[in-house]
Amino acid sequence: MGPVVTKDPPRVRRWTKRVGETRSRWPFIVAVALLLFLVLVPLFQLLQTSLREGQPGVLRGFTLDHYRQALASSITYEALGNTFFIAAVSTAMSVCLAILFAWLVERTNMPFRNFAWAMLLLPIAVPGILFVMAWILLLSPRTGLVNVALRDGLQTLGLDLQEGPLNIYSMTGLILLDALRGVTTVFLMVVGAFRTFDPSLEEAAKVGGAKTASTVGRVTLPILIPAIIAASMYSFIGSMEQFESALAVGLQAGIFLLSTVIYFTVQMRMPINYGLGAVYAVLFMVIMVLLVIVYRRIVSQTERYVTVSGKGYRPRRIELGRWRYPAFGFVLFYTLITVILPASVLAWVSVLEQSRVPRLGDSQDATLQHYVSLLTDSGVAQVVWNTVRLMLGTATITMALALIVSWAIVRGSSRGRGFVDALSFLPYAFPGITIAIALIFVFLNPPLNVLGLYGTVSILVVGLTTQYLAFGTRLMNGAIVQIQKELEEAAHVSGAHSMAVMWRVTLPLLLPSFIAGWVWVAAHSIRSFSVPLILSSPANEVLSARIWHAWDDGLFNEAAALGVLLMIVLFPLTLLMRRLLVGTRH
Amino acid sequence: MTVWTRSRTTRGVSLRQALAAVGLAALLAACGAEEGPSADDPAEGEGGTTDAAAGEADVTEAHAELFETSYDAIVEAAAQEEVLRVCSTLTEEEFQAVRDGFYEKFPDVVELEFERCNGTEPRERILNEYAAGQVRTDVFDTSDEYYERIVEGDWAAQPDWSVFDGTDLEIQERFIASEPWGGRFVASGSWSPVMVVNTDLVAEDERPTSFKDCAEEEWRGEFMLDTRPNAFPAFLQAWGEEELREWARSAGDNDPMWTRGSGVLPQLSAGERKMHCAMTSAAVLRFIDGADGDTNIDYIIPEETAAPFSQKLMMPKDTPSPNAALLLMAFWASDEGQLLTGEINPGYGSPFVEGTWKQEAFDEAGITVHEAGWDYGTYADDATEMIVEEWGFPQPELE
Repeated sequence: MGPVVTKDPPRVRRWTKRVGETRSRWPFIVAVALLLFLVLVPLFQLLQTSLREGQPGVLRGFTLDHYRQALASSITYEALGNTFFIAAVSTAMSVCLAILFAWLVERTNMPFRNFAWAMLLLPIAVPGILFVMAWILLLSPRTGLVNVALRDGLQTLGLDLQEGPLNIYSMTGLILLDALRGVTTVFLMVVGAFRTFDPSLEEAAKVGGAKTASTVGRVTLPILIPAIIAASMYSFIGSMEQFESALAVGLQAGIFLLSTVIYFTVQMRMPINYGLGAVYAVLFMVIMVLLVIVYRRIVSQTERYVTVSGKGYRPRRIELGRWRYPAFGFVLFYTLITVILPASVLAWVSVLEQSRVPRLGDSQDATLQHYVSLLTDSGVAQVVWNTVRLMLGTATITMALALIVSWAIVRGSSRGRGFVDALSFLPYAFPGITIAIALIFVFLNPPLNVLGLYGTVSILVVGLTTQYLAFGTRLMNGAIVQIQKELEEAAHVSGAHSMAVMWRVTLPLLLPSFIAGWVWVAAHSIRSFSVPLILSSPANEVLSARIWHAWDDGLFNEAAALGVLLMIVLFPLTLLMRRLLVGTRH
Repeated sequence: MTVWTRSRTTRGVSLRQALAAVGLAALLAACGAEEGPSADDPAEGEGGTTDAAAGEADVTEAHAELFETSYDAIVEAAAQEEVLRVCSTLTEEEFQAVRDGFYEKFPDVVELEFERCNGTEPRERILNEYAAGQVRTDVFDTSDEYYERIVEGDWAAQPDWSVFDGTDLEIQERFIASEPWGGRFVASGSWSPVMVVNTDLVAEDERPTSFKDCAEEEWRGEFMLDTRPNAFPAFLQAWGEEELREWARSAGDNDPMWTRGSGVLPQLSAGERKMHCAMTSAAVLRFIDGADGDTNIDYIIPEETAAPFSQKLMMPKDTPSPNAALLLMAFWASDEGQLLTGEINPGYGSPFVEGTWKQEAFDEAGITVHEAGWDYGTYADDATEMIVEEWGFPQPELE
């Protein structure tokens, strides 16, 4: 006897089938709708504001005046040129350093390699704004601690300088700040390639008589170039939107980047010109989208250069000889200038009695009163609570959304999944400042102003979720791909619908990656700056905005003390992140 | 025989669904803002260009709609209303004097919640909230450049201040926003730009005496200049456009260290530069007071300065506490309130109110003070744009 046949007519059977499928697909529909909202609604609002006169909530007729004004202004091209130049040079420097470090920890016999690995990750625990603040205190041309020490030293050699010799308020200063901070990202992206690189190619070169430098230059690097280029592009895109150093250092030097031009037009200059700011934001996003397209093309080419094969091997470590310890010393020096020195100077300022620039030799008036004051201040408690809510909300929503969207992308059979994949990565092209400005327009204008999200922590969660979604989906895409389909298919065959399969079969297997991503997003949301600053209000102020406001008001002690407390939280989170991210690769 | 088995559920989302969602997103975004009044067509009975007599009649009507019409009734009604949320450029400590004075005079009034809104960002946020129909601030210390926008948006109440004539809350005429603002704002105190020096680096006889010194060669590379030229638009009427532009160009080319706000005073104190070209007297006095006088920062009252109002108060039409807000604003703008505004920080006192530190200091120095009254908002924008343009900051090159 054959299987039971339903007696419903075909049309009813199709309808029933469709209803059943839709019911089981509703989380994906909701997730994709949310994705579309996060990505497209702000984009449309930005475009609309750029094409209309007036202010948020009181927009008037359409106009092209804002575009005319932006494109006719020399500052637009100057800012664009500055942005590209700084991003290009700093990326080149970051890449060189990152490649060197990745090679040292993965391919050589440098001592304390594990320790070096952890140290190279620590700059993540120093938020950008704190890093910049610290280096302002260290390298201000006349009062910076390093400059004062250098001038004292040069004076003993007979050179009497009135200021400098180094100046943070310069193009060089901006490049160095960005370059130093970009190393960790590139390092994380290339170190895996160095680890899994098949050493037989290098051994063949050595057998052929090639020296170490020649082997690295003519065998190792060429093979890794696609991965390096992909990482460089990623870093370049990140550098393009850098805001902290542009704001704190660039403005004082009179150097405008695209991010600060936007900030200047919608926050600082009077009268505020939202339309012009929206134009700059749109131009910025167009440029970034083009860069992201190039990046994705490059990444898609990298598979051709895979050298990981099925056969097992032990990576051969290159002998550094007498350079072993100097190599480790260089890693230590990098950690000194990116972590130890900035953290130390902030800690010092945080214990000074008066709010002022520290001077060498004035340790007499150290006090913990600022910490006591902060820890007993109800306003600060509210700021901390806001930060915790932001962290929990952003990390959870981002990773939940990423999980569902990625599952739809990787496991789906719909023709639209390529579009969804591209859409999920598109927010990476949105600089934080443009996301923030777009959200102002979205939640102040009808109809979404009725939600009352403006001025709340929720609007920050929306902004940061948009910002980190690309990372979340890339992480989950890679993780889902590693899980064999047969496990899920077996569940389907047994009668489970899609959501049940994802919840009970896939998610437990994805849990390590999910948690790793959750921790990454949590750590980054705590240290995020541009979105919380632009959208800041007393009701939703978080730590990063509070630190900036204190610094901007000249309350250096409070800013530094808050910064130290923030870093105390971020250091263990960073180390945990490292452990989790490394664990997911095995 | 047809076999129907339970099909594998199709995962993913179809392109049709995605496009439908895109369309929905576009619809939501494109609903956009309602059309506000155009710049050429102010709403009838409002705005800056209507007839004064008609404006007065509208004020009376508008007042009667929102408030009680006698002093005693206002006081009584105010005691029944909700918490009053106040946003001001004063610090909490500086506002305390005003708060204490208000409570002393009106012990039964509602609780005052205070928030400091100093600078552009918080003010923009509050105005954006008003634009979105959200009233979270009942008494708002606005800024001159926002008057037109507030009037255009029709967010502010229009009280009839004559209800306080003959009472101890009577407000001097100069502190009530005359046309074109229709009484929507009242003022308390003033801010005046002063010059600031590091006394370790600048000897007494080397001190600058005028803002024009910032353009002089002797100060090249030795001073700080704020990227927001708040201090200087007031000189437009006194100097004229050509002279203002020339000064701005010269000062901008004189290699200043560009700064923002009073947060740079620690750097000035450390010696990063010798002088700050212009900062509000209130900010400088606050810094000196915070150091208990033990600082190398000092202010200089220049030969001529300006005195725009410091607290420019308005209340939104939709405030749940109109009478309490009205009472507080009237108190704050009255002579008694003016003195309290400058009690904690003398930098906020008005030079036009007898008995303030500023009135006495300016009179003693014999300087010229440009009043910068209610029309300041009508030319401050233009003057700011002129100056910023000369400095080469983001500025559209208009045809």
